Amino acid sequence: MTDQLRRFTSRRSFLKAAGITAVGGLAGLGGVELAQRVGAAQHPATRLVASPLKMKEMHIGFTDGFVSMPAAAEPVPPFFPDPGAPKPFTSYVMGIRNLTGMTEAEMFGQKGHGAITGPFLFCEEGQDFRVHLHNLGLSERGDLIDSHTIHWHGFPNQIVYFDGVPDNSLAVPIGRELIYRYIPEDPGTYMYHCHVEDVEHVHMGLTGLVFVQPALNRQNGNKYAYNDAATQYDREYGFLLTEIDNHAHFNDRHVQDTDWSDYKAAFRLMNGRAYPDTLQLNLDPTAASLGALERLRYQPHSSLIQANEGEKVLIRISNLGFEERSMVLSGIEMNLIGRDAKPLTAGRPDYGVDPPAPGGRGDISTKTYRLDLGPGESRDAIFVAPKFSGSGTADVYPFYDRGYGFVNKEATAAGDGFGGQRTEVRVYPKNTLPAQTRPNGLYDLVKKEWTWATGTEPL
Amino acid sequence: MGDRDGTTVMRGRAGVARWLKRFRWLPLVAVGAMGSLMLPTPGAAQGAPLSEGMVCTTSNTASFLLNASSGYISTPDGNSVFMWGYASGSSSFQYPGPVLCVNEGDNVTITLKNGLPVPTSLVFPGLTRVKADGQSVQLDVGANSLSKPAQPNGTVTYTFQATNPGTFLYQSGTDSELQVLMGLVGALVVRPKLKGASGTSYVYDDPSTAYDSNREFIHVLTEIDPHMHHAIELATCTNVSTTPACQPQLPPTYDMTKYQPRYWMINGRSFPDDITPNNSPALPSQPYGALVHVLPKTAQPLPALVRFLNAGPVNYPFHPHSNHDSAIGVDGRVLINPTGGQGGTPTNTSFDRFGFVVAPGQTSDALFNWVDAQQWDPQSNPIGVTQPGAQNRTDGPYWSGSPYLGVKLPLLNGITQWNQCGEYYHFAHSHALFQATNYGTSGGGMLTLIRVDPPPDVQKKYGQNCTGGPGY
Repeated sequence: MTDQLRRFTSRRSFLKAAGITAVGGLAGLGGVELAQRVGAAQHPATRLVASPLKMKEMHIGFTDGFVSMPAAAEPVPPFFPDPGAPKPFTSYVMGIRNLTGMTEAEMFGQKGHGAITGPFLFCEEGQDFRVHLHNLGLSERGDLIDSHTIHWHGFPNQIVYFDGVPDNSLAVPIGRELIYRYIPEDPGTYMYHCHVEDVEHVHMGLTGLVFVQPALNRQNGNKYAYNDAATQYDREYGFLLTEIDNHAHFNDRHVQDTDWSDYKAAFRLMNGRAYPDTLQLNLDPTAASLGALERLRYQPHSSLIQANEGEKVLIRISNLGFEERSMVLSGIEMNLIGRDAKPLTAGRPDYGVDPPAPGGRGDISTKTYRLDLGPGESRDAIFVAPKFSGSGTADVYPFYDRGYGFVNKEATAAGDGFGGQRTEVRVYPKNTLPAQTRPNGLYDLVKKEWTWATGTEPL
Repeated sequence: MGDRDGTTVMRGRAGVARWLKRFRWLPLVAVGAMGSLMLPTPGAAQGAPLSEGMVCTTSNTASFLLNASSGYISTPDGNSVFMWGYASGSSSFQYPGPVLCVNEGDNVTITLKNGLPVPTSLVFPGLTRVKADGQSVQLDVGANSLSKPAQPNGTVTYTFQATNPGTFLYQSGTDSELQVLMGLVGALVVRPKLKGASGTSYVYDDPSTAYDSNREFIHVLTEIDPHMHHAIELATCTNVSTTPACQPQLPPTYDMTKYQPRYWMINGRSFPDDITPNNSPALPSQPYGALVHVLPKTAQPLPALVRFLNAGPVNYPFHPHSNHDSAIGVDGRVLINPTGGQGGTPTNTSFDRFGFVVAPGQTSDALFNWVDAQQWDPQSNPIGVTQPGAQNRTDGPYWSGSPYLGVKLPLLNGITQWNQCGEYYHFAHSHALFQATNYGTSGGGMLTLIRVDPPPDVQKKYGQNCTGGPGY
C-alpha cells in the first residue's frame, strides 16, 4: 500500500527485494516473518539521506510557575488553594514555555512563568526536527538546582544521547541549553517529559504532547494519522492527560519533601486544565491582557473539540498521569486506529523486521465509544461528526473520564463536578467553521478568529 | 539430583550447549567450573554462577518440589522485609519462586511441602485439568482456598498436563489476597514442541514467535507493603523472643484497607538491585536479575524475548525506553487469529506497545529489538548538533560520555562511570511513576535497564571488550 512512502525509497526497495528473495521456499504466516527477520541482518543505510523536508527547529524552556484550578473547586486546606500562590492562581507547578523566536533576554524573562501542558511538538515523518531545551531555573525554589531533559516517550530505536534519561546520558543545568535532534520514522502520537527526578518533574508539569505526521500527507494535501488512506481526517485535536496531587504541589512550593508512594491525585487535567476550564478556547500566554481569563494564562490549551457536520475528527490522546483512564465519548462512535504510535488498521507493518515489513499483520482497529489508556500510553481515534440536529448553534457531545475524577465532593456541595477530565465535542452545521490549518486550532465564532495552541505556530 | 528434588537439571547435551552459550561472556574460569556440570541451583545463590537472563529450573521427569517457607529479602534503601515464598527442592527460601520450565505435553508433578504456620495451596491460572493428590481441584470455601491446601508440615501433590506452550503464573490459592502479596508466587514456562536451529527458540508453536535463545528474559512484577509484612512477621512470632513467649495469632490477619505498597519489584528486586546478576551473593534470597541485554539488530537478527507476569494486585503500565515491546502472546496464548485473515486464513494480531500494560494475573510475551536506525558515527555520520562541554551539562553514571555506540569517553569530574565499553543503557519501568520509587524516592522500584552493546565489529573498531554488565 503506502509503504513506499514510509522511508526513503531506494533503500527500502533494495531491502524489500532482499527480503522477498529470502522468503523463497518458506510458507505460512510465521515463515514469512521469520525469513524477513533473518534476512534483515545487513546494515541498513543511513536513514537521513535525501530527506526532502526542511529542518524544523524549536526552543522550549523548563521553569516553574503558578496555575489555577477551577474557581469553584473545593478547598483542601492548607494544600489547596496554595496560600503561597499569588492571585489569581491556586497551585504551584513546573511548566514549559515555547521560546521559539525569542531573544535570549526574552527567553530568561519566562523564568517563573512555566505553563502546563507544554507546547505541542510535532513534525513530519523523516523530518530533521531539533528541539533546544533551555533550563531557565526555578523562581520559587532557588535551593533546587535540578537539571532537565526531554524524554520523547515512545520514540522507536532511540539512542541514549537523545533519550533524555539523566542517569544514562546527559542533562542540561540551569542557564544552559541542550539540543535534541529527532528524525522520526514512525508516525503517530507520543508524549514528552522531563526524566530528571522523574516522578516529581513529570507530576509537577514538565510534560507535553508530541506527534509525527505521516509521509502520506505530502501526497495529495489530505491529512492522515498514519500511512493508510483509512486514517484520513479533517480536524485534529491532541490531548495530554495529567493529574495534580495537591499535597505534592504544596510540598514543592513550601520546601517540603514528598513521599511519592503516598501519591493521590485530586485534580485530573486535560491539556493542563480541569473542567470546566477545559471548555475555554486556546489562550496566548504572551497576550497583554486576558481579562477574566488571566487565571488561565499559564494553562493556554483548550480541550474543546469543534467540527462541522460530516467532518472526520482525529483525537490524539496521551496519558502522563499515574492513573488509568477510561475516556468516554457519549453519542458518537469512534474508530480506534492507533495505539502507542502504531497503526492498528489492515496492512499494518511488522516492526520486528528492519525495515518494517508492510502488510504482515491483521486489522486490529476497533469501533468503540471509549478509550482506555494507562500511564504512558497513547491512542489515536477518528470519528465522523454526526448530522447536525437543526436546533441551537451546535450539538454538544460530552467527552469525559468515566472514572468520574471530576467529582470531588458530595453531590450537594458547592464545587461538585469541578476539577476533572471532561470536555465537549461541538458539532456545527456544514460550512460553519473554516478549514482547520493547524493542530488544535479552535475557531472563535463570536470574534470570527482562530485561537491557536502554543507550538503550532508556523516556523 | 533434579529428578528427586526439582533442582536445576538440563535435558540432554543440546540443552546444556544452549544453556552454556548464554553465559559465553563469562570469564573462562567460570565456564571451566560449569564444565563439571554443577549446574546452578536458584535459591542457593552461594556457589551458583553469576548470570543474566531467565534461569530455568528443570527436571527430567517434570517433577518439582516447592517448599513454602519464610525468609527475608532486602530492598535498595536498606530495608529488610519478611516474606513467604517458595524454595526449590532442598534449596533455601527465595523470592519469587523458582522459574519452572517444562515442555509442551509434559505430565507435570509439583509437590508442595508446607513449611508455613498456615495452610497453603498452589493454583496455576491458565492451566486446565489440574489435580491435587489425584483429585480434580475443587474450591474449599471453608478454608478460603481455591485449591486443596497443604496443612502446616503437610504436603499436597498437584499434577497436570502442560497442553499449551506459554508463560504462566503459579501462586498460592489459599487466603490468596494475603498469601500472594506475602510472596507466594512464581513463574511456569511451557516450551513449545516447535524447535528451531541452534540459537533459535520459539515462544509458541508458530515461527513468528522466534527469538534468540541466548536473549530470553523474564519480568515478574510485584509490590510490597512492608508494614503488612512486618505485621505478619510479628503475628507468627517469627524471630520474636520475649518473656513470656510470643503466642502466634493463627491465621495471621491484616486489615487490607490499610494496604499501602512502598516497594515495587521486578523478579523480586527493586532498582538498582535488579540489574545485578542472577545469583548475586549480595541478594542471597533474591536470585533473579532483570537486566535486559541485547545487541543491535544487525548483530542480533532475532529479537530478545521478555516474559512479563503480573503477580501484583494492580495493573502495571510498563514502559520500555528505546523501542516498543511487541506483544506476541497474552495469558499463555499466541496472538494469531487462526481464521481472521482473508478466506479464513490465519492473521497475526500481535501488537506493539510503548506502554506495555500488564493486568493482575496476566502474562504477556514481548519480542524486543533495538535497531541502530540512524547509524550515527563520529566520522561518517555525526549527530550534527553541538555537544555541550563540561560547564554546560550534567552526566549520569551509566553514560559512555558519547552519543556513539562503542565510543567511551570520560565523564565529568566526580561522576563515577559504570559504563563498560561504550554500550547504551535504556530505562524500562512502570510509568505510574510513584511505582518507580523505593519508598517514595525516585529512581528505584519497578525499573530496570535495557543494555545495548556495540556490535562485535564496532567493539573491535574502538578497542572495546563488552563482557558482563554493571555489578561485575
